Amino acid sequence: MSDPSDEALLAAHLRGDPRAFGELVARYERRIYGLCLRILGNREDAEDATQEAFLAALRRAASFRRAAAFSTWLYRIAVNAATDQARRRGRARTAPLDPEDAGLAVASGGELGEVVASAVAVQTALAKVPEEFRVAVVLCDLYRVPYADAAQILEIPVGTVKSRVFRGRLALAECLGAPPDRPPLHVPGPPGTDTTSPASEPTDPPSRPQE
Amino acid sequence: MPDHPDREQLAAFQAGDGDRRQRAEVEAHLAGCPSCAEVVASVEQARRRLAVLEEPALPPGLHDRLAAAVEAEAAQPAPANGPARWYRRRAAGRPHAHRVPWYRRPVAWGAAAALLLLAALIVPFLDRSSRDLTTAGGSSGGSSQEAATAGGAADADRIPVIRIPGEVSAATVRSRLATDRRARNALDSAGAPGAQAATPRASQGAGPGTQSPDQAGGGYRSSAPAPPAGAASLRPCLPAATAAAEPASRPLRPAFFIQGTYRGRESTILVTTSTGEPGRVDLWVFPRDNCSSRPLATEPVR
Repeated sequence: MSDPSDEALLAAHLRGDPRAFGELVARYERRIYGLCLRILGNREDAEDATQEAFLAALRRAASFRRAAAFSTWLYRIAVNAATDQARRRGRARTAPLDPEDAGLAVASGGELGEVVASAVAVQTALAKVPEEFRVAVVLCDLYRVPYADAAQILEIPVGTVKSRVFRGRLALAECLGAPPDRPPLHVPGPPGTDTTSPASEPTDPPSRPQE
Repeated sequence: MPDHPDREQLAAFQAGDGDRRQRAEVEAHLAGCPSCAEVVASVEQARRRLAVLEEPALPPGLHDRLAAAVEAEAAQPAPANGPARWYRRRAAGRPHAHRVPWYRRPVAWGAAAALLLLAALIVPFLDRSSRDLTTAGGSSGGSSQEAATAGGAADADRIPVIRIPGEVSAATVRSRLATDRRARNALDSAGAPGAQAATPRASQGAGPGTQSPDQAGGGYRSSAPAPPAGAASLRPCLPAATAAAEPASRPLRPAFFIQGTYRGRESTILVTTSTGEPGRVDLWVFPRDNCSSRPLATEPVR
């Protein structure tokens, strides 16, 4: 293990090593882009937010404190960049756009490494989850960030993280529609006749109702 | 059966929290309450379904774009000033504790006072020209486009044109504003009460041969001299953008043009500030040197 730690690289950067920050970018760019993509739901915004995040990290490098892991610090900056981007983007769409300029159409969700129909369905549903909950789900469920670290990233109590993750999953379930082997949420009724087991859910064809 | 556990309690239960007794209580409730069991089951199912989302690949070109942006931000040439250089000096390793905060420095107070005084002296003069200009550039709405064109005409000739090789986005413009003094000056003077009377852009001249300034840094390598930007063809840009703008943000004030690629398309991009919403910056994308139609796209820069 001769690779320097993230924190050591940041320290080297602050001492003037011209390559250290670039190394950190290379280590984290895919993760940060993925995080932004899952939060924002489309590639263009995610790319912009990723760039903003690294530039913000560069500007604030001197304020990094070793109390937190570098990744926690960077995730916090990235989450802020992504939510800022979402706010800006929310304001953007009122001007007339040429729809044939396809790059601008909002959220195709088609930037998944491999476009699996069910992955598209999940990403589409995720985009409908309220942002506050979505961010928590993305961090904890997709990026496997421990609740305690997510609490640092989001600067909220751990209990609030758990609650947001729970509500995010619940909203996601509602957006995905009821799975075939059980009735829709909150609507009492007999179990459906479909015998698909929950374990096979993730690879189901997208036959259930979606919007 | 006691009351249903609330969502916080279910969330804690699902997160594995609680002592044995608390968990046993929730479990007992779930066993006898189909609706709560349903909630917990669908939440668990949603968590499992998330597993189909793999970590996305890095889009082609993003690595280079990030490297260029970081380089432009950090590697300012020595003579430049501005935020990035300030950052470099600080980053060069002086411990925070040894720095004197700006508000403890007498010089800073003096400078601040001088700026205030200067502003107080200048603003009344600028105000007049600002009024003239906003009426010219700002008459809005599709029907008044002709009238606005007349106003935009003279202005377009004085708006700086910046060439950015490669893909341009709102983020590019933001980092440009952070690192490129000329872009920032253009923006500041567009946003200032003096608006288009400001001298920096008057001295820049329009398009022909205007290039990225040195401060652009190594990230954006401007190569050949720019082809003529065709100031005349840029004149309708402001009125076209104004016609497309939300009423609240009108009138728009032009800061500078960018000649670059937007989403893979050769474009002329007008960057504006807003009189209606101070602090707002937008970009308006047109086909290269052709503002005769409405903007292809618009994006808020901030």
